[in-house]
Amino acid sequence: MTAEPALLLHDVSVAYRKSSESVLAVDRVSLTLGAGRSLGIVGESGSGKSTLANLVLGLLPQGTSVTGSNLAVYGHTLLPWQQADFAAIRGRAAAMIFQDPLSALHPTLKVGRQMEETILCVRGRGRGSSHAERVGLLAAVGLPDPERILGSYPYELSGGMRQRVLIALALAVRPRLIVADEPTTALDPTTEAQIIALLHRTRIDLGASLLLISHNLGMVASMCDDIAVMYAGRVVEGGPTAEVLSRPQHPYLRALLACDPTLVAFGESGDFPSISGETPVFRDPCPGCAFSPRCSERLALCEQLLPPHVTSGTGHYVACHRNLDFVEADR
Amino acid sequence: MLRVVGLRLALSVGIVLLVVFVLFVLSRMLSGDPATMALGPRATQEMREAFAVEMGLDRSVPVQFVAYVRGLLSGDLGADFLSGRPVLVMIGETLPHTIILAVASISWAVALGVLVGVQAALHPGDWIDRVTALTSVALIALPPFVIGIYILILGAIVLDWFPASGLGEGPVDYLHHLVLPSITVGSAWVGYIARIVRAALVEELGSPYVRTATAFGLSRRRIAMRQCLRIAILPVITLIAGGIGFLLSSSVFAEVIFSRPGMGTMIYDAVLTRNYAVAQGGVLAATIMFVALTLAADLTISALDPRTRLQGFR
Amino acid sequence: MRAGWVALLALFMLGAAFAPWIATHDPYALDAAARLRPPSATHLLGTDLLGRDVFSRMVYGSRTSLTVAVVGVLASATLGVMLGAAAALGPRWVDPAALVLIDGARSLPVLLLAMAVVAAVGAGMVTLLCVVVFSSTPTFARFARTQVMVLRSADFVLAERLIGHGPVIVFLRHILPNIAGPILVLAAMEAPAIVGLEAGLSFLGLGVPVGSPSWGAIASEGFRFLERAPWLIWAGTVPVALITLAFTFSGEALGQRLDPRRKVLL
Repeated sequence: MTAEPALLLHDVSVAYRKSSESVLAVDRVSLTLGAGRSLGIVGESGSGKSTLANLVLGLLPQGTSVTGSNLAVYGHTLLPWQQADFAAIRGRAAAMIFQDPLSALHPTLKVGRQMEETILCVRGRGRGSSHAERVGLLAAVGLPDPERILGSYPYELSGGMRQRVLIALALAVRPRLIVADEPTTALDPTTEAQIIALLHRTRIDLGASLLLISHNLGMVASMCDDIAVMYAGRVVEGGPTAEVLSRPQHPYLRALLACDPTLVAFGESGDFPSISGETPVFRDPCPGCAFSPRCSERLALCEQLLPPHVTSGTGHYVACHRNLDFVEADR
Repeated sequence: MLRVVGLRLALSVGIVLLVVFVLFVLSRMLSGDPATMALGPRATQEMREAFAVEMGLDRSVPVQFVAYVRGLLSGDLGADFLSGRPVLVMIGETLPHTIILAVASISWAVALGVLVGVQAALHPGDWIDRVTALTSVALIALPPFVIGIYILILGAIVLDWFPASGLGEGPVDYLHHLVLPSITVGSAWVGYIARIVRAALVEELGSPYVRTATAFGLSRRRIAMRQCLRIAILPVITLIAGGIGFLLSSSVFAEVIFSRPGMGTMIYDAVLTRNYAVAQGGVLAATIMFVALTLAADLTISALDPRTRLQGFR
Repeated sequence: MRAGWVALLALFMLGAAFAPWIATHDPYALDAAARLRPPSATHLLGTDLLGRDVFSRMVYGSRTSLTVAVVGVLASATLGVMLGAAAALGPRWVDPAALVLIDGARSLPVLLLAMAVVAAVGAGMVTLLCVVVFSSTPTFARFARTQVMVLRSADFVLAERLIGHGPVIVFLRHILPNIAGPILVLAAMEAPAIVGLEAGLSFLGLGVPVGSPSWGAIASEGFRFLERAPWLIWAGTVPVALITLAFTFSGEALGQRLDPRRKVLL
């Protein structure tokens, strides 16, 4: 592929400053999202995946430090980190869809007004949207009665409808990269399925790349070409989705798959399996593998030494001391 | 919504009635002969007797009160014993100037206060923010007459850019004479407004919808001015609504210091010359205006508050 | 920086307390021969229209202002807290009634009414104090009401009520100590308003009795003779300005001490 990747991270770390201490949210992460492809990032809350999403559009709070050897969106280099660089990206190269559509919209502005304002700002003076265009956008995302919705306030719409409005906005600015941060977490399962389908269709229509953040393995499985699994700020496994999910190598991913309610059959005991222990607090980065305290397969050196990434021929990579030889076993 | 309006209206009317009652009580408490108070020291015996009958001083107190209120309602607020002019006419002449002063003062204070507040909110901690914080506290703490005197000294004496007294002739000169007094009255407000706008904006800027707008590339300043300000402006209106009393008293001082004809100077001169009829009329008129303005402001707030507005739609 | 303001406030209080020793002349002593004299060795800040020593009048003026401020604050705070507490702790009907009183009083144009009162009964210390108390009590009442309402559902209060202690005891022993701090801060913030009101009324000739040394009165004369005797206006306004600022910033410092989370202005 000679086209530049949609998103390129190399050895990127993000640290928040909380009162007087530094909290490491993302720890030396390297990822590549090819142009036109989709990447799903999965992990528990606290894994740093949301920080990663916010990173792409520069939505991190002031005082956050971002370091790394490379960070680029469609060739726009974003390191050293400064807000001015993001003007070229926001609403142009990339657009974001947020988790909670209610708070994402201005509570006392009508939907039509917000859309008009936002599109005008992105496209520039004199090139705003017409009423007809906005109606068309809402219709394109499957909203019935777009006229009424344009004249409504966000609280008058359902969660699914609001999310469609946000997707419509993303559609309007025609970004090359869509970043979706848990877009369906706040929605019920039926609506969830619809929104996922809509998102998929939108991406294809635009020919855009997709960065999908989720804790829902099933959703990532159905939507994304590639997957990356994060734990405690680090990427522990990744690669082509089908390959990774059918042959999980990292103990964490294996445990996640075992626990996923959609994949697990209700055992006789009626219990859901779960992973014991809690996600580590960011303040104490472990010198070795962050998952080792909870890992059922841990070795003595796991806590001391950071496992390196090992990549197989298929592009499947994992960072685990137990699986240093999986490359060979794979063949 | 209607219930709220009704209650506020009732309260306002109640306040006016209370003031009328207080003024009535005071008029009966006048140190000295009420006839002299109302008619002046040169009143003749006949005038006094006529006055006594007219005022019903020979009748019982509640009846007097009713007569008093009746008199007020018919527009008879007494007359200036020196010139004989009806108080109502005097009020009609001076009230507009006071209102213009108040409006001008609030206007520039809001304009400047909002601008400074926005700036401070967008760049918290930098020098504008700190200077604003400091000066606003100082301006709020200083009594209005001190501010007025210093403004007069600075503007009319040291710099000699503005006149120290009077109304001016012709529209341009009028404005020229308006500058120093309105700076005096507005200065305390600028401080309050800037701080409130800053605080409200900083809070609004942390809202999730700001994130969306930022993600789409809107500049922070644009978001602040076009989306957050409409919410941040509410506390300002509340502030003004609650501060109309302060506005009135500052205006009185400004009018006195800058020798500006207005309700303030009218009442003040009346008080000094023991011209009770004028003082009473002026206070009553000012109270009614003040209560009406406060009511209007409170209703505006209720109407503008998105929460009440949204509830109204349900 | 804040310590400086507190020190200044203390200085004013000392000045007021030791006025007779600091002042060079009797503040009431007239001297027809030495009218409107500029500052000199004998009269540090010159003389006023009646030949009185301005410096001494300024020093005694601090007594006037601080007396009014302290008495005013004490009276308003006491009345206000009682009213506010009664509204929050008393029987159901007390609250709306108290609110009507408080909001009603707050929405009256105090200065205008003060002028009307003075027009009717004449100027004087008693009138002045009544006006001051009337204008400040609602502030304390409202604040106290809010504070007590927050506390009345606190666990320790409920425990006390369960034991059977009446509301008065609960208030005195448990609630009052807890709100004393914030009330004190409010007092420090109200004091400048009271000083300002007194000085303003005296400036208009409607405050202290004629001839009393008050900063406002000095300023009033100073204003009349702005060009002829400029020392008067400074003697009248600078102390007022400084003391109001000192009260305000000291109040802020106190507030910060009591509640470190409070946002600081400086």
